Amino acid sequence: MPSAAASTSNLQQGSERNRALILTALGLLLLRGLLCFDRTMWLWGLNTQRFLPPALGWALWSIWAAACHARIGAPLSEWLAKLGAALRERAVARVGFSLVAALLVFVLEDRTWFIGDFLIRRQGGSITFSGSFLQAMPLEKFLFSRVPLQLSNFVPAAMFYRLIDAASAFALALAAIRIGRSIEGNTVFTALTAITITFGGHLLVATGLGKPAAISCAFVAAAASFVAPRRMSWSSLAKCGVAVALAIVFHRSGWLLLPCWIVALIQTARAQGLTRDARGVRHLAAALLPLAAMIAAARETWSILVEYDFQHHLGGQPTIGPGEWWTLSALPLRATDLLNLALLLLPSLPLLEKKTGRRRGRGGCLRSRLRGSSRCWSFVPGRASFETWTCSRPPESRSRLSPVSRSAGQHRRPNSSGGRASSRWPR
Amino acid sequence: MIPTLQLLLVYHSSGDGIERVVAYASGLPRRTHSELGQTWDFLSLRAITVRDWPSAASATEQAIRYEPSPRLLIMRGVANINVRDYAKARDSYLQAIQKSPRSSEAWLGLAGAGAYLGDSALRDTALARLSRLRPPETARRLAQRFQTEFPEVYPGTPSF
Repeated sequence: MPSAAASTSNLQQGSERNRALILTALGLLLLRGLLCFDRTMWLWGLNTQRFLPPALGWALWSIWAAACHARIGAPLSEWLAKLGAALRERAVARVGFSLVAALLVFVLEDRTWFIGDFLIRRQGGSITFSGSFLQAMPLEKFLFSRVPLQLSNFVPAAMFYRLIDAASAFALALAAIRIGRSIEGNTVFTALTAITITFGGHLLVATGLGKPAAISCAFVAAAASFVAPRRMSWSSLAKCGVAVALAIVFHRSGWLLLPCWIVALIQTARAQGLTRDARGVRHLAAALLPLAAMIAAARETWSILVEYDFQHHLGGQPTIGPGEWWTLSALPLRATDLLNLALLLLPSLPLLEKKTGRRRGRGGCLRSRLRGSSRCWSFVPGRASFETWTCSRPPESRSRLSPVSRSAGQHRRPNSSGGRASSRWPR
Repeated sequence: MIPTLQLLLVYHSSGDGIERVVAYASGLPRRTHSELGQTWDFLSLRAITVRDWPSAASATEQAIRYEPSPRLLIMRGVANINVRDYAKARDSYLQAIQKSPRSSEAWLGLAGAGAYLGDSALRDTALARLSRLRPPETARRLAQRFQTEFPEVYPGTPSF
């Protein structure tokens, strides 16, 4: 239990962080509104609303803005709490939630075709030109070339791709709910986790990005959902192993899940030890499936890396012309590339931290957070503020989710400012 | 969630989505040469796929500024035939032939442009050159496939 002084300090830090997060959220909201009047494309990631019919764009913006107001936010928070409770307790709710994601992807198919393999998406395996499946693993070629061809008499290629994308969105949503359910405590948090992961941008990969993006995204979410529970078991690691192995065989980006899998493997082995019964052996075999997948996919992956990735991304056939690398407009793009790379390698952080922590002879901050606690921020519309929660590993007898402001024997609202907050907190 | 929904809606509405892509290519900041080439090439290809000929004509015009490849020149020829700018179509096919003299599509397109312009000498010369391409079966097959896909490139059935 934290001392009262530490609790107060946490509270103050939480307040400052909350203020920064609120300002950031409101700033983004205003910026997106203001960019509707900007005629340039400097911030083209934020000016989507400019291209929507004004009534539709501003209606959606207004819903977003209204959620920040306490009078709208309070009932919204209650609704979120109910949704979270339903997602925790009822399978029908989980299927319904996932169907919403699948339906959105299916109905709002990408008709612009700017991003991704639009010709293949429309015409399937019947379209063949050099480079169609240059970067594809055999499983991807089978799924996106041979299957649509075989089924072309029954299902048009475009419909086949839409069904695959909808199924991927469905799987992504189920994984997101699983992650939300794995953290015990407030049901609002369960709903927010599921909504953020499902609808926080990932749905877009299921409509217009490269062919394998939606399925890869679902694999990542599935792998994460199986290692999300605080008490790792060989059973859940086995499921994670299957998801990682399929991801590796399906696309070379699946190799990026290996750090996550290794960390989960080490943690499970330490926490659970090895079991010798038949079920335990089966789980262990499934948990180690990524090793077999790596061996099976190594040759194909290496040839794709050598023949395509190294040439296109590291030199030889750059997508940006000579002399354009260091122009003023190209520099931010390069910086974004590096940031994307850093983001991709985030799962490696625990390994890195573990190594540096061991060298220093003490556990690092990151390790302690990953093992014992994780800090999560959730937006609570009812209070128009972000709440900081510490999901700590408590004694088994009590809830695992405890607000940072909780002090001995008291269950105060997180980062509450006097009595106002507690009266607005969803019951 | 709202930004995701906005982006899904923009890409779902082809008009709004294309407007965004055009703004990306033509607005500030100025994109790199190759990015602009690829973007206008995409816009050309897409416009032709959906048979939006005025957009195809203007997009291919832009794309050729960055990459005057025979393929894009032929695409501009097809687009210009469909917007009845036969003189510009003829010029496009002539430029394509300069770059790729063995292109069946360009010779057939030139013959078609000549026919539309009432220039029978140009039409007959282009058809004669098309029939002399080697190997003849391949040249004929490519020309026929081109006309099947874009019947308007030549009025009627060419004799070659």
